[in-house]
Parts: sequence; C-alpha cells; structure tokens
Amino acid sequence: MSDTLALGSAGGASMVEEPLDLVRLSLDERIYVKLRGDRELRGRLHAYDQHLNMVLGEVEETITIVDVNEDVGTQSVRTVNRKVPMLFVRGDGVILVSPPSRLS
Amino acid sequence: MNPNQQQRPPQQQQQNQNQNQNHSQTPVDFNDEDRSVLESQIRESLETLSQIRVTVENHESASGEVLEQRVDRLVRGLAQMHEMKDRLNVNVPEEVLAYIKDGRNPDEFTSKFMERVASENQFTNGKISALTNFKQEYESKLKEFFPDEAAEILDARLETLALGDDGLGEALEDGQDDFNDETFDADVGEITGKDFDFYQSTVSGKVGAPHHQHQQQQQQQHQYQQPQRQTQPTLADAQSGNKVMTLAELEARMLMQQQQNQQQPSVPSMDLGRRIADPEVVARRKRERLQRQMELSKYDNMMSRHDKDFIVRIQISQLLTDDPAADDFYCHMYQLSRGTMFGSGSLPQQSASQNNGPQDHSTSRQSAQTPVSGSTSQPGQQLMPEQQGQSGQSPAVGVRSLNSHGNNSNSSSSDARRSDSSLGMPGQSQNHPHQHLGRSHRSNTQSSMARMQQQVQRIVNEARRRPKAAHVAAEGALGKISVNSARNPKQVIQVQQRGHAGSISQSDAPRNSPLPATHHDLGGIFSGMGDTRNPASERRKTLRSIENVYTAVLRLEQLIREQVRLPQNSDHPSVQQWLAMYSEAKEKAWSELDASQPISNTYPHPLVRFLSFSKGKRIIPRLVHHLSIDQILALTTTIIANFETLDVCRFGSFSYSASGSLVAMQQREETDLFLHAVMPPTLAFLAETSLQIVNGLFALFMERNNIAWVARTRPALAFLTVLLGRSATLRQAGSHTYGPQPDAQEVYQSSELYNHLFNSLRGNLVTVFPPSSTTTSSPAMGQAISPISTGSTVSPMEDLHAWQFLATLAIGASVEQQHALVSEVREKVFEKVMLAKSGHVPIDIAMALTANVNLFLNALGLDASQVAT
Repeated sequence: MSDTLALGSAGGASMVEEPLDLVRLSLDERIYVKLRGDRELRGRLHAYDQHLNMVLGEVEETITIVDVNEDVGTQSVRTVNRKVPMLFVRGDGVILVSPPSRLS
Repeated sequence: MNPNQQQRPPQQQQQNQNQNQNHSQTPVDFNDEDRSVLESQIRESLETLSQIRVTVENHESASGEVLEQRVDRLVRGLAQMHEMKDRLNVNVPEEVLAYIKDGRNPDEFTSKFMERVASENQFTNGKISALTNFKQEYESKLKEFFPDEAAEILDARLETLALGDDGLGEALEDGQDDFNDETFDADVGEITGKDFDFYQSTVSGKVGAPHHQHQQQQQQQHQYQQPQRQTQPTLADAQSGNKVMTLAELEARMLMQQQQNQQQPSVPSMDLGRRIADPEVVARRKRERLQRQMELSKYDNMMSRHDKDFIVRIQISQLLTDDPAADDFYCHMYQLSRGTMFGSGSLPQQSASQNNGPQDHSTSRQSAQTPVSGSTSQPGQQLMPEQQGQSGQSPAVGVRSLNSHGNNSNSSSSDARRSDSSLGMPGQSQNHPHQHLGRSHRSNTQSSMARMQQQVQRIVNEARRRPKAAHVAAEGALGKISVNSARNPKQVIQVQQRGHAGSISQSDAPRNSPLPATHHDLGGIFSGMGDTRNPASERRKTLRSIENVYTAVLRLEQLIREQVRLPQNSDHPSVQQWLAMYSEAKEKAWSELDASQPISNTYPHPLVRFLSFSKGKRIIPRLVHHLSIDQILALTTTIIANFETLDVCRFGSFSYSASGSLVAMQQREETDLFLHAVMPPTLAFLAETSLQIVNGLFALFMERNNIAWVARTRPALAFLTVLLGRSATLRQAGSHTYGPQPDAQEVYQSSELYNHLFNSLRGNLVTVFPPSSTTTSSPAMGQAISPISTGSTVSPMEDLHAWQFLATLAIGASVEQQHALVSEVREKVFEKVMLAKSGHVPIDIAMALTANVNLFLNALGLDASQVAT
C-alpha cells in the first residue's frame, strides 16, 4: 500500500504497518463492520484487540433477510434494524471493518 | 479278458513271424516274439498277484504254504521279465500310463494321438502352401521393381530352397574356406558349405547335363530372364516333388551326379567349380551387403526435411547465445581454470578449419581398414576429436597457456571442437548411410559439417532477427499470456517506494464537497483537500499522527507516574534516564503535532487537520500539560492564524448549523468539544501573557480571519472575548497584573485593534447571537437568520458567549461606541428580557437568561431590571 508507506514516513513512524494499525486509526471514529450472518454494524469504535473483538458505541445493527416464497419461488429481501447504545462484538464473527462509506 | 488275450498271442506270434520275415532287413524296435512272451509273462504275474490277494483275504492255516508258492511264482515271473529287458525296446508314452492310472482306455490315447498328427500335418501343409504363394508373389514383385537385383536374390533363394535350408546356412555365410582349399583339391572345394550347388547337381541332374551347363553360362552372362524361366519349372519340381528327400534318395542322386560328372570331362567340371565359387562368392557378398543395408535403412525417410528442420530448430534455439564463450558454463569454468580469456569471434572460423583437420586424420586412418561395417566408423569418429582434444591438445595448452595468442586459438579450437563434436555427432549419424554406401569419408564428413554449420548459422540469424514476443495474446483470450524463457525471466514485483506516492494517478478526484449533507464523521471533511492527490492518504496521515501523539502522551503520562518512584536526588542516573526519556517523548509528541509548520505550506494546516478530529481535540489538553510555554504559544499562534479554517469555524457557524440535521448536532458537539478541550489551555495562556503577545495575536487574528464571518462562531467569540479582556486588563495598567507593564505603544496598539474590531463588527453585532426561536427576531442588516421552530432547543448557554463578548466589547468601548452597541443589540436585549419575564420558560432558565443579559448591561452600567417591559 503506497498510501500507508507515505503515511508512515510522513508521520515519522516505522514503515512497517500492520493491518490492525489501520483499525487503530479508526478509534473513536464511526466505522462500518460486516459480520457473519448477513449482519452489519455502524457505530463508533471505542476499543478493539487482535481478535477484532470490538466495543462499539451508538451502534445500529442491520440484519438482511431473504424470504423465499415457496409457492412462487421468488425471493424478497428485507432488512431489520435495531439500535444499541453500547455493544461488545466477538471477533470471530467479524468479516470486515471499514470506514463508513462516504455516500451512505 | 484272459482267454481272449491268450488266444491272441498265438495269432500274433504267427503274424509277428510273418512280419519279421518280411522286414528282416528293416530295423524294428522290438521283436514280436519277445513281445508276446512279455505279454504272457505280465499276464501271469498279474494272475499271481490276484491269487495272492485272495489267499491273504481268506487266510487259513494251510494257506501259508500256498502263499509262499504264489509269491515264488511272482518273483520268478518278474525275474524273467527283467532278463528280457535287454532284448526289448518298448517306448511307452507316459500319457498312456496316465490314462491307465486314471482308468481310461489306452486305445483312446492312440486315437487321440493319430488325430493330432493328422491335424498338425494339415496345419503344416497349410503353412507350406502359404509360404509358397508368398514366395511366388514376392518373386513377381521383386522382378517388377528390382529387375537388376532380382536375379541375384533369386539365385540365393534358389540355393537355399534346393538345400532344404534349415537355417544353418546363415552361419556358414563365409564361403571362404581356405583350409579346405588347401587340403583338398578343387573338386572338394566346390562341395564345402553352401558353395556346393546341390540344386544344380541334383535337380538339374534329372533334366540333364547340357541343361546344367546352359544354366551356368547364362548366369555368367547375367541374363536373368531365361534362367528365371528355367528356374520356375524346376522350382515347381522342387516344390511338388521331394521337398524333404530321404537319405536314400539323396544318396542315389549324388551317385548319379557323380557318375555324370565323371562322364563329363573333368576340366569343365573344374572350371565349373571355379566359376561357381568366384562369382557366387562375390555375388553373395554383394547380396549380403545389400541386405544389411536394406535392413538398416528400413526405417529411413520417416521424417521429412521439414520435421528434421523443426527438431533442429528447437535444439538450436536452446543454444542461441550472443556470447557463447560466456554463456556456456563449462567453457566459462574452463577459462577460469586456465586463467585465460578467449575472444568469441575466433571460435567459429577456427572450429570449422580445425574440425576438418582431425577428421582428415580419422578418415585416412579408417580408409586403411577394410570398410566392413559402417557402424564402427561412427564411434571411431566420435572418439577421435575427444581423444585428440584430451590427450594431444590439453597438455600443450597447459604448458603454454600463458604465452602466445596462438595457443589461445589452439585451445579455443579444442574447446570448439569439443563443443562442436556434439554438433558433429548428429552430422555424423546422418553421414552413416552415406558412408555405408561407400562414398569417400573425407569429403562426406567435411561437407556435412559445413552444412551443419550453415544450418546453425541460419537458424541463429533467423532467431535473432525475429525475437520472440514476451507476451502472447491468443485470439479471443481475455488477456496476455507471458512467455518466459531464459532471456525473459519472470519479473519480480517491485514495490514502489514512498517517492512515487505523490505521483499516483489521480484516480479519485478530490472530493470538493465541503458540506457533506449526511456526513457522520467530521474528520473526513478535509479529505477533499490537501497537497497530495490522494485524499484518503491525507486523512490516514492525520489519523496516524493523532495516534502517534496519543502514544507519546500516554508514554509521557506513564513517565510522570513513574516519576513518583524515582529518588529525589537529581544526580541519580535513573533520574537522568528518566529525564531523557521524558524529554524525548515530549519531543516526539510535539513533532507529531506538527504545530510549528510554516503557515502557508499546506492547506489546510496539519494542525488544523489534526484538530478536525474529535480525538485530536481531546488529546490537546493532555498534551499541553507537558508542553512548554513557547510550544503553547506556537500552538495558539497557529490556531489563531488558521482560525478560519478550523472545522468548528467553517462548519460551526450559526448560519450553517441552524438546521436541526444530524450534522448540525454533530457540529454543535464538536464545537463544544473544542471549547472545552482546546480553548482552555490557550485561553489560560492568553490570560497570562504580556500585552505584546496579546496584541500580536489579536492582530494576527484579525488579519488572517474574516471577523464578521468568524464572529458567528462561538470559539471565535470566546477567543475575542479573552483577547479583548486581556488587552483591556493590561491597558488598565495595574499593579495586580502579571508580567511587565505594557508600554505606551502597546497600549496604543491594543486600542487601535479594538477600534478596528469594533468597526468591522459594526452593524453585524446581532449576528453574534445564535439564531433564536422568536419570530420577532429582526433580521440584521444584510444578514438573514433562519428561524428555528422551537425555542426550547435554544439554551441560554448558547447566548452566553455572545453576551460575554458584548460585555467585554462594552468595557473597552468609548461612549460613542457604547451607544452604537446599545442601539444595535437593543432588540436582542429586549427579546431576551421579555422571554425571561414572560414566564414561558422555566424559572431557572429565565434566571440564566437574565444573568446573561445583565452581563452586557452591567458592563454598560445598566441592568436588565431597568428594561421596560
């Protein structure tokens, strides 16, 4: 990643940057987390660790469900939302962590 | 069974006697008479055995004697048979015995055997007829295609046929039987081995002697047609006639022939004999050679010239080098071991000339030998160059290696020869059939070598001219396939270094959206700006620096905690160490903060970007705790200088955050955070500095920022408030103030600044206030305020800063200025007082509102209670 190399040198830090360092940069920022089971979280990252256990604040969880209509055979997609003020996420269910998409 | 058999022997005996008389002369396997005796004897023994059995079964006291008798008889019988054994020679097949053991009829065996014999006889007859047909067919075709050689071959076949060849003839190929010629005379010489023309002497003997001579003459004259015609009927005789003659018939024929020969004059027979020997031998040798050559070249011409070229091209392509001396590993090692350098240009020419040289030797040597087998010449030539190279040349090179150039050429040529011998070998293998045909070795190998060289050269030039593409894109394929070879190895992925980071293509255009509608993260607001083209990297850079500052601050705090445990003595080394660490961490933190970067370098200022993140704001107070005064000054200066660009200013102005959207809420939060986190240290600093600095900062503030616009933000108001207050305090030179007394110039300067500020704000003072809820809020001149729906969202705290600012403004104002102030904010004052007194709002809020207003009014010397409702 060139940007991380550029980043490292400009910031005066070591050139070696682990992927988890990028998560570190997102501390106290709002992030988007994709979990297993078609779930997504958007919240403020308060803490994390190497297993990607995370503590998120002001989270909004989105569950995506696909309903299969057996009679017709069609599929319909719906989402379920819920809000949680403070949440601990176990790391092994985390698929990805990213800044929230700018256009969302 | 017994009576029948007993009857038979007498008849058999009679018959046997008859037969014996008839065939007295012919040897028979056994005497019939003896046979009958044997049979009777066997029968008797069998009977005796059965009798014994009965005796044993019915054993009585008296039977012992009988038993003895019978056993005696048995033994005698067996002894008799034993005596007869010499006279008899009966071969009983094992299978018959097996039959008997199994209880089957031995006659069955005989019948089966006869059947088998008959069938095999049939089979053999079939084979014979098939071979005969094949022979006829073959001969006709042979005559058709090879009329010249056909006669010779057919003669050879003729002889083998007549002899009843059993394969031994091949072994006796060498007709030269020198010893026989010496010991015996010519008559015998003609009979040795295959040379003896049995056919001529036996079959033709039937036809007659003149016929025999006629054949010989015709053979000598090489007129093949007539002998063929003549041989055919005689062949037919041979076939249908006695294929396998009995020995008696053979002897008879030989006798007849000898008689005939003796009748004829002996001289012609001798001539005939000699004539038989010489041309036969020569012809046979020629035939053998032809046959061997044909066998060996049976699989010739399988590959067309195109195929050969293809293979050679593949092989040559591997050998392609620009500098063969350098690319060849062994050549290189040889050079190293010899310690000499060779010119590559000299190799091919000398190799061509030198190769011809040793081959001259080899060919001359070989021509002395009898060119019997071409196969031996080939390995001989292969070995030659190597032997010469190893034995002759290398010691010479070893001795004179360091001297003259000629030796270099010598050794280079030996190298070339060695390397070319590998090339020469296929050439020689190609030459093999040519050699076998008897052309001269020398010219052949030379020309073939030259041809090989030319071929190599041609292929090399072609390959050079047409370099292979590194990539192959087949039609319809989605992409290029890279073809790797020694010349085009697989490239290693090069990771671009930092220097190229700036030149990354501007794939994502800078997002110039300063007002993202639903932007959750204010920290990303500045992502669209920055010197480098990559907005995301800028953001990450800032985040990274924030994290680094956090790390440094945490370390600092940890050090401070450790400081408690340190000994008081400052000379202690651990203390020194601690101090060193501490200062180092401080340095690091400060450098990460990057506050002292020249102002106009990057836009926005890194510090501004730093502060655009909430966590950046939060770390400031903790950091400032460790900073020196100068550093804080620098920090404040930078903040003030770039105040306009602070996120809280750009997006936190009241007009912007008027809407109740999420972003507005966030803006308010950020502003609060700023006010609570960033401002206090700076303000505290300001509150304790000298007037000079205050003036300087003030001037900077007003210079760099658009006051009217900035004044709409609370932080700016706070700054201004503090600045004004401080300057006012300092102007009122009093002994209770810290620091050096301001001199007149500074005082003057500050008053100037004040006036300047006032003037720039004149007419816009109302805008200092956050947008209020009341519908009665009159729009200020030139400024439109969007009303907020409900008043409860507006807390009195929002006005606080405004009132404070106005109060400080009023303090330093002259009378005339005060008047202006009052006139402008009159509406506002009334509004607030009304609101407080109206009772729509709770009591405490009303109290707060009143207190705020009183801030201002008290500064003017007025009071809210004085306001007429």
